[in-house]
Amino acid sequence: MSSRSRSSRQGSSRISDDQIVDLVSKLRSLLPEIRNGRRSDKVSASKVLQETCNYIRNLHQEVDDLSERLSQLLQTIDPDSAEASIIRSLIM
Amino acid sequence: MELLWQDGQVVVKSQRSPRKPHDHSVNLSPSVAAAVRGGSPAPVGDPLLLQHHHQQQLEDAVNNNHLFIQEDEMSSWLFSDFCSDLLLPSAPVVTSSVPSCPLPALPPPKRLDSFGHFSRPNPLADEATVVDSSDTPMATRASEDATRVGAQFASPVVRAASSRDQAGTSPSSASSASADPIPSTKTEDVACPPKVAEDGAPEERKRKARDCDWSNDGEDVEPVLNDDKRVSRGSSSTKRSRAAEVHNQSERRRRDRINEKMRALQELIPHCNKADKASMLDEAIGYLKSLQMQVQMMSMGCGMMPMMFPGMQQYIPHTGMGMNRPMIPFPNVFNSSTLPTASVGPHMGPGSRFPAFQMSPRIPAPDPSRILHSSQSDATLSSSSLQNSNLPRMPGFMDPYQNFFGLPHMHFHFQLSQASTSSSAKPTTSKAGETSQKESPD
Repeated sequence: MSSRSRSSRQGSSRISDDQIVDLVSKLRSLLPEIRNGRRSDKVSASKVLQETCNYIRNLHQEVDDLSERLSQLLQTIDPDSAEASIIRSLIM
Repeated sequence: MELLWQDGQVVVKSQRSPRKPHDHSVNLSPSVAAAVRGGSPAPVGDPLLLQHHHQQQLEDAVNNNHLFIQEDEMSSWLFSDFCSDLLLPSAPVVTSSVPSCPLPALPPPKRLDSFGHFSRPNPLADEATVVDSSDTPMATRASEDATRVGAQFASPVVRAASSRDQAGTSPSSASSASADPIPSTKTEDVACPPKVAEDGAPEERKRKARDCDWSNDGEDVEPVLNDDKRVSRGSSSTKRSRAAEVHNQSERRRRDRINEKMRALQELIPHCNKADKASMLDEAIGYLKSLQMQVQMMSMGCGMMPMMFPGMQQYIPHTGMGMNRPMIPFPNVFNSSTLPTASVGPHMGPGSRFPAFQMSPRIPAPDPSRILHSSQSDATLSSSSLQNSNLPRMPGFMDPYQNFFGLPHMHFHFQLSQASTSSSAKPTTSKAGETSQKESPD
C-alpha cells in the first residue's frame, strides 16, 4: 500500500491515518448519533469509539431482551410448529 | 513528578529519576536565573520537603546536565518568601504524594496572594513579567500533571496559577474546547494565546491534527529531542518547542484514550484476534451491522409472533449472526401488496392453516399470481397495520417486508437447511414444493 511508506516514521502502526479516518467515518455512519446540529467533522475518534462501544452494548442488551421475549413466545405455541423452529433459530 | 523552576519556567521533573525531565521546562530570563543561582540553597520555608527536593535536584542535575540546580534554589527562595503559608498546611499532604487531594484544599483567596508575592521582591521584578507570560504554561503543566501525577511542593503555587488562569481564560477556552471533553486540554488551549504568533489558529488546527493524526505512536521519541534542542537554543525557539511539547502531550493523551477505547471495543467483538487497528475497525463495522440486522430480525419476529408470520425463515441469520447474508435481497420478494392473514388473536390459532413460506427470494412472477389467488384482503390489511405498529424499529424495512409477506393462504414450508443456503436455493424446487404444499390441504 502506498500509504505504508508515509507511515514509516509511525513505528509499530503501519496503517495510514486516512484509513483510520475513513473507518471511523464509516463507523460513525452506523451509529445512531445526533446528526442534527452537530458538525460531523468535529467528532473525535475517541468519541466515535466510545459511542460504538456503547451502541454495541446496547445492541447486546436488546438481543438478550428479544431472546427472552422470543423464548417466552415459544412456550405459548406448539413446539412442533414451523414457527417454533423459526423462533428457535432466531434465538440462536 | 514535581514542578520546578528551570530557566524561568516550571519544569516537571520526576522525583525518582529524570523520567520526563524535559517535558515541561520553561524558560527563565537570564537575570532571574542569575539571581536564583546567587540565592542561597538553604531551604527556609519547608525544610523537610525542600531538602529532600534539593537532594533530588542535585542528583537530577548531575544526571541531566541541565540547569536543574537552580530549580531548587529558586523554589526554596520563592517558597520561603511567600508560599510558606501555603506550603505548611499542605506539606503533610504533599509529602505523602497524594495526587489531587490538596487541590480542593487550596482556598481561593490565596491564589491572588501567591501571585501578589511574585512581584514583591526586587530580583523578582523581571520574573514578574516572565511569570505573567509564562503563567499559562505553568497552569497548563500544573493542571496536566496535577491530575496525573503526585503533587509536590511546587504544585500549590502552580495549582493556584492554574485555578486563576482557568477562571480568567475559561471563556476563551470554553469555545475552543468544545470538541474535547478532557479539562486538561482546555488549559492547553489557554496556553495557546501566548504562542499565537506561531500557531495561528491553534485550537482547531491542533484538534484537527489530533483527529487525523491518530496512529502516531512513534512520536514518543520527539519530545526528548525537542527538549535537548530547546535548551541549547535561545528562549524564542523554546516557545515553539513548548507549543510542540504541549501538542505532543495532548496528542499522546489522545492516543492513549483512543487505544483504550479500541481495546474495549475489541473485547466486545467476539472472536476478534486482529492486532492492527484497521482490520479491527473493519470487523467492528461488520459486527455492528450484523448486530443491527439481528436485532431487527428478532424484533420483527417478536412482533410477528402473535400472528403467523410467513417467510421469516430465510431472513433469519442462523449461523454466525447473519454474517453469511449481509445483504438480504428485499426487493426480490413478492411485489404484491397482499399481506399475510396472520392477524392477532382468535381467528388464527396455531392449528389453522399457516401462510405459505417463501423459500427463496428469487421466486419470480408466478408466485404473486398464486398469492392473489388466495388472498384475503381484510385480514391482510389489518395485519399490515398491525405490523406497522408492532415494529416501529424497522422503518426502512417494513415496506419490503410487507411486499414479501403477501402469502395469505399458502402453506407453511419451513426448511432450515434451505435457509442457510438460500443463495443456492433453486426456484424451481421451491416452487414445486410450494405448489405441492399448497395443493395438498386443498
